Amino acid sequence: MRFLTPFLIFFNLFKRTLFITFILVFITFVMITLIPIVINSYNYTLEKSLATKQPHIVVKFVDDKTAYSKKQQQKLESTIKTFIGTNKIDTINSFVESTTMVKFKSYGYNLSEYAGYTTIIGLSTYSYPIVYNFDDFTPVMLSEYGFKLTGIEMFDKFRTTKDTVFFNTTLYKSIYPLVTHEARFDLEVNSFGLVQSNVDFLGIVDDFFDKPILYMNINSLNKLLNLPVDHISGFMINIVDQKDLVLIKNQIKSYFDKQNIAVEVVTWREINKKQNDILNIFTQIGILLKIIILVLSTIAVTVYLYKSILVKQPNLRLLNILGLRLISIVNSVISSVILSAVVCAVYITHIVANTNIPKILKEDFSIDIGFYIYDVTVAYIFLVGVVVLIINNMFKQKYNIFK
Amino acid sequence: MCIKNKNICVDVKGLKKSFEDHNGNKIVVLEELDFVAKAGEITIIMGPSGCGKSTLLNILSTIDNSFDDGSVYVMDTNIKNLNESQKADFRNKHIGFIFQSHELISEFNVLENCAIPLKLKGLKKDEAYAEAIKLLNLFNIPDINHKKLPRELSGGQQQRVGIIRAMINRPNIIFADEPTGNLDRLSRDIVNEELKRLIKPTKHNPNGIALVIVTHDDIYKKDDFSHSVYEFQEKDISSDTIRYKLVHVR
Repeated sequence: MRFLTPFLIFFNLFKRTLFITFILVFITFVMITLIPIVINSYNYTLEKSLATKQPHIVVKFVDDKTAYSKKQQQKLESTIKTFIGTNKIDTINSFVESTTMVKFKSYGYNLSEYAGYTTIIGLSTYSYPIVYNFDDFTPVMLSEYGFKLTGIEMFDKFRTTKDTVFFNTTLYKSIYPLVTHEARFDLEVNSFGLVQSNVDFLGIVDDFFDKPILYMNINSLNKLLNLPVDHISGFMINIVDQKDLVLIKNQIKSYFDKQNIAVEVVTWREINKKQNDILNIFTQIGILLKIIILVLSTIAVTVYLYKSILVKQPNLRLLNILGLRLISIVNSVISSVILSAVVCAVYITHIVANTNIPKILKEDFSIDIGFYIYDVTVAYIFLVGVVVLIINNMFKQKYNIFK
Repeated sequence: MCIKNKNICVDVKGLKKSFEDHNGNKIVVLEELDFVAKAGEITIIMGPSGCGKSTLLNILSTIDNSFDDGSVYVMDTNIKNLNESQKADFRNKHIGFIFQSHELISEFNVLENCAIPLKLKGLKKDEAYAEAIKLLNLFNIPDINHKKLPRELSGGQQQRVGIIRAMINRPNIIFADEPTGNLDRLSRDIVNEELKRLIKPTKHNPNGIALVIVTHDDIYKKDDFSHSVYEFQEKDISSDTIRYKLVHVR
């Protein structure tokens, strides 16, 4: 009983302080949990939205003349899928890349000519309806269909067909290319069209700011470019989970290395430095915010405790005069701290052992529970040190209770 | 407890205490000081402000045992030899305190304030509260006030609570620092009556309590109140400090 008395007296004397400290610590925990969740969720959404607008991994044959038969292509795709894991791969599509010349016909104008670097996407012949032949669209139809296509809308429409991939060089040049680059049709001039009579399934979209993108059947494309029918420049791979991006890239690279096929493998984050930097900045901001909150909170709690102990100093002195040992006060502080640390440790152990909260935090919100255990422990030790120093220093000061 | 040496509870001989000021100069506050307080007696210490009363009280009550010279025996114990924890235990066992401004703990209610010394002694909460209630009733603090915070009581009632806290541990000595300094005349008379009652022998304290009162008030000098009076008187006036000596007036 005597052992407990100083602790109970100390607790009684500081119950308000302890309650407010608990609230401050609780708010800190909530903040350092919620802020990363918000930032990581935003980061995750941003990453997902950026990733869905472009191929995740581009495998480009160094030898541009590489030609595979349809069977070879399918076999290679299947092998890659098996090698990486079918559950990790969403789509694999071949693409052709070339410098070409595309002619435009603007209604009411003379034939104009566009020459430049254009990435051309080969669309599977089995995909329907993938490519719009814009020559078939009248302004009325465009209006009727609400044909104000944004890149996302287009992408989503086409993604319903699994073997379709869009490749847009302009994506690599801006952060939100497909959101801002809305497909534009000049209704006044009626339509855009591609002057080619000997190919079927043609379509062209002016991507407003940049170069045109041409969509057409891959065989038609090859015909257009006078390439062998099965010529491909490489594969565009979309993966299921962005967390596997680097791992899968390395796996693909090692696969082709083993096959002695010279390829260049790049991820979308490597190609799009700006996008990558933005995503990294958000991650860094999350970490920085956590640290700032933790440091500010520790300072706030320390200052609050200091002030509280200072206010209670006469009462602590008085209790000492009435028979409370100084060592009991320090012991009470240390006991309180150890007790709360033990409670936290037991609670965290319980959470780790019996719930999937750490897993959810780590996998869905990229929050490692180790962060709390390490950083909060450091902050805690700092706090305890400060409190013990304050009390120790307090009793060294001269204090005259007799007036 | 005080039988061993003619009921002497506090015995001070040749006490010297000095401080260093911020310039590092030594200032002697107490010098060649002798003092005795006996059980069942009221001993008065008087003197002007700054004469060293508080310093002496700190030493006598074992709060400060860092004096330069001399011997201080309280309950036949040389307080110089006590460490911090021993001093705390010693005070809890032998000494009670009454302060000018009550010094009740504002976070605790009246009952808890009274029971603190007993709790620190190791008594169970129920026992401590029972004893506190007994004394509160004895000192005419109504039940309704027991759960109130000290600030909700009048000055006189607060001082009585302070007296109860001082005596609840059945100490051998009680040090009172201007016990009625902050009270009106009526409250002062009531408290003084209580103080006189304090020293009387009881079952637990057959020799009575030694009550040491530090005060400015001349009424305590009267024969009908105090048994022994000490007074700080000017010894010599140097260029910048006045030095005092403690004189046993009666």
